[in-house]
Amino acid sequence: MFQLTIRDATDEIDLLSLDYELVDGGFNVGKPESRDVWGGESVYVDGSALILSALGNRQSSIEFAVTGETRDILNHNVARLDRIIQRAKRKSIEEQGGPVELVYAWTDTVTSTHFEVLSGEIEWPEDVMGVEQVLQESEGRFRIKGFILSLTLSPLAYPVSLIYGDAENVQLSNGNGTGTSVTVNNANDTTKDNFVTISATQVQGAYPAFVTIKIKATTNDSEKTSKVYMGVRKGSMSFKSVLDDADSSFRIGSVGTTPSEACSGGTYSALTYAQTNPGTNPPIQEAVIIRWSLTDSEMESTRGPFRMFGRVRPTTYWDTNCNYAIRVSWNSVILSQTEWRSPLNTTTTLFDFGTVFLPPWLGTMQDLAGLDIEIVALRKSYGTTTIGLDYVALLPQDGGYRVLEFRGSGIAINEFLVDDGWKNSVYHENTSGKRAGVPFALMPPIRLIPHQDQRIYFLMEGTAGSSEITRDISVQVGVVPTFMVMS
Amino acid sequence: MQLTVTIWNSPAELPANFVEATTKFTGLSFSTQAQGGFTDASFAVKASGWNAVKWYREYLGFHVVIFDHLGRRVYEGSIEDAEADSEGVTITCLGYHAAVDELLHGVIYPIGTPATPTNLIEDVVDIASAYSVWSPDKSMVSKLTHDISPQDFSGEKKLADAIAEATKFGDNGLNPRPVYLAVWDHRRAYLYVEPSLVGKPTWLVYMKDFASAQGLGLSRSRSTVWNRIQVVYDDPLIGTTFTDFAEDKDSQRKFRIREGTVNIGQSLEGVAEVVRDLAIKAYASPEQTSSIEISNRVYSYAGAPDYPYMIRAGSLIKIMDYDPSVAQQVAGTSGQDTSVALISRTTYNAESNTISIELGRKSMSLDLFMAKLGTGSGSIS
Repeated sequence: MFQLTIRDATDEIDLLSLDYELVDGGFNVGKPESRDVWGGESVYVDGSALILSALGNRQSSIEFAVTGETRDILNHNVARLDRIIQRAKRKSIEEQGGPVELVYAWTDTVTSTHFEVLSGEIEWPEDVMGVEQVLQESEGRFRIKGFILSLTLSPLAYPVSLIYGDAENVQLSNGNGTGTSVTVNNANDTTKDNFVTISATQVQGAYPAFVTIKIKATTNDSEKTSKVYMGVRKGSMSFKSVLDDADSSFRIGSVGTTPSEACSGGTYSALTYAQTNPGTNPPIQEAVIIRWSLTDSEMESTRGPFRMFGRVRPTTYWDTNCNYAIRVSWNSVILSQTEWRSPLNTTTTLFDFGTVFLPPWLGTMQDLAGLDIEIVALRKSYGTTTIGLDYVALLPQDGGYRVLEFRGSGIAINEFLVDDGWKNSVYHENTSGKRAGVPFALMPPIRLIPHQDQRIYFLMEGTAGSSEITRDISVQVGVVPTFMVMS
Repeated sequence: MQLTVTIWNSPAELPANFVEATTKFTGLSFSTQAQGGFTDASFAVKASGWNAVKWYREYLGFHVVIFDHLGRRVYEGSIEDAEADSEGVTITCLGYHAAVDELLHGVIYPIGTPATPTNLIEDVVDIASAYSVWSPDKSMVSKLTHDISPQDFSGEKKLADAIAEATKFGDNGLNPRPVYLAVWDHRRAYLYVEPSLVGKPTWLVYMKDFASAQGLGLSRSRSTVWNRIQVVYDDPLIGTTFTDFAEDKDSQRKFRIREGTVNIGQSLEGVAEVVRDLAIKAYASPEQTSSIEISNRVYSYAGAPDYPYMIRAGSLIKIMDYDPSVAQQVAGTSGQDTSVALISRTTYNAESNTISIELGRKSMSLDLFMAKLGTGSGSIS
């Protein structure tokens, strides 16, 4: 059976009912405007390049008649429509209350198509007070013809109700198992995985899907988990996701690795960088403190932007008397270097070096040669810096990047941190299911590309900045596919 | 690509200070300057009701950071103005360098106590950080060791006065290069010497990436050329004295002879001759002003494409396919066509993804040398 309904949590208006009669051919949904930004319109070359592309809202018009057993009921039915449109506008303007949706379905189909109604207007027939309109009565109902409802809708269609539906949890997998909820570790080595894989078949639709990520603390950590970094990989999954200290090709002072169960891969490296003043105050010299040499094949698969985080062993911190950078080089030729950064506090375990593009040239090049990745240190004053380096993580950013952080506190064991990209909210949920907007998010919500293998990587910090490798979470990923026309 | 404006009630950016993050703005633009760092930014928030009141009344003075989709910091400052009207609230921000005109310096560097530009700037950082305006981190303040004492910044003198004194001689080299003070990420002060044009450029651009036919703006005028120059000075023993002329024959062939005189006031013969020799280098070629507008990708030194908002003032940009025949003439002489230039100012417009870049104009050596002598500005006529 065909369905054409406008509804919210308060009311539902069926435009194919006795009260509202859709005119044959009276329902139209336009295409969303394509908002493209073109760059390089120079006269020095032919053509130009598409830089950005986004969709504008779409317009819909519905022509119908309103009926009622009495004229009062007819008037009431018109007012119902007016009220629901007003609620849609208020939701858009005030960002409060529930959404209004337009639901459309063909007969004999399983799914229905949902658009969010952002705004609208009812156009009355010109002769609404005319004798012909007022006296129209047939089959025991009064009837006014020629209403036109103009709606502004969301650009994309969803197969899920905005009011009653939820994102559907997809199958996840990693070394810890497979299912709609899997354990994610705060390290990536032979025994631990800090990612979930979502296979191509799990995400339907045509445009990037909305994603809801539900994170549950599963370990009773001394510091609650209060910050979660998430990066999405859509390129090769065999990329070099972690640079372990033991895998380095150079360590300052040729220092060996030190065994530690509290470190990823079972070791850390005590890197000592000293700058002494001989009495003549010479300029302080920077130094490479550790280097990893990526092979040709590792570089081939390690393409894209990566956020690099360096972890030091527990109870030690990055020295605030020193600046650090990540340098990429080829045969000692420096190709790129992040800006000098310094820890913002004295208890930084996981240090954010910033974003590094690998390889540091056009991404279309094939058959890549191996490159060196180095940590460079520059002391702020004469003295000695010692870092118990565990690893440098490459958090992929080619499919998205998001940081969730608590304004205070965090998630205790069995509590949730939810990044609901579908309902556009981020919240903490306690064991009783009660929600609080204590966390906030930076950078746009993660969207997953349909029909493509993807992974979401995680790194966590506790309330005081610790980042133990024993800190586990379980992750659920819900997805709402998006379509252009019918879902 | 998406930019997010985040608001914090304190520059410390602690989680407890977070106020809100929004992508619902229009008309976003922001600027950077070689002297200053992050400068101004503006955007409009289409808000009404309590949301508009919040932006208008509560956020004045709040800390603003603009991140890109990769979490890179592309602007940092604080809200300076809020204007509300029926369309919403328009927000204007200023970078933290603006504090140099707001805070008094108050330190005296007496005769007999050496004071270097670095000493002055480190004191500036201490003062600005004592009020929690700048970071106390001084590790990006370059070591400039020439003595510029005595200095007196007591009374109404502000931080800007100390910065002007600290930078007016450049790096004090034989062929001095300009020095700038910029406040960049996390309110950290950078005192840096203008990078040499023969060094590695930070950014590469191609003419295909220019915004339009007007994407490259160059102007040069013969009226700025002086290729036969003398200096007039007031000798303590002789009185008004003229040096011999210095000439640039190559310039005279190209632009015909243009004779000029530099008046440096009271001075000595040897100094006047040095000024003359610097002046002939500075004025032999037309002064060139350049600006480019890029609406496409820019490329890192190694060739990785990036968004144009990542370009900051104070770095070098190389136009890869601009007049390669003169691209070798980049050894620091003024006014020459070069394919590498210092970026003195950038303004990024988010709606069109276009960045306007003003390039450095000419060698500052003469101006810096004149400043060191305490003579006139080096103007010529």
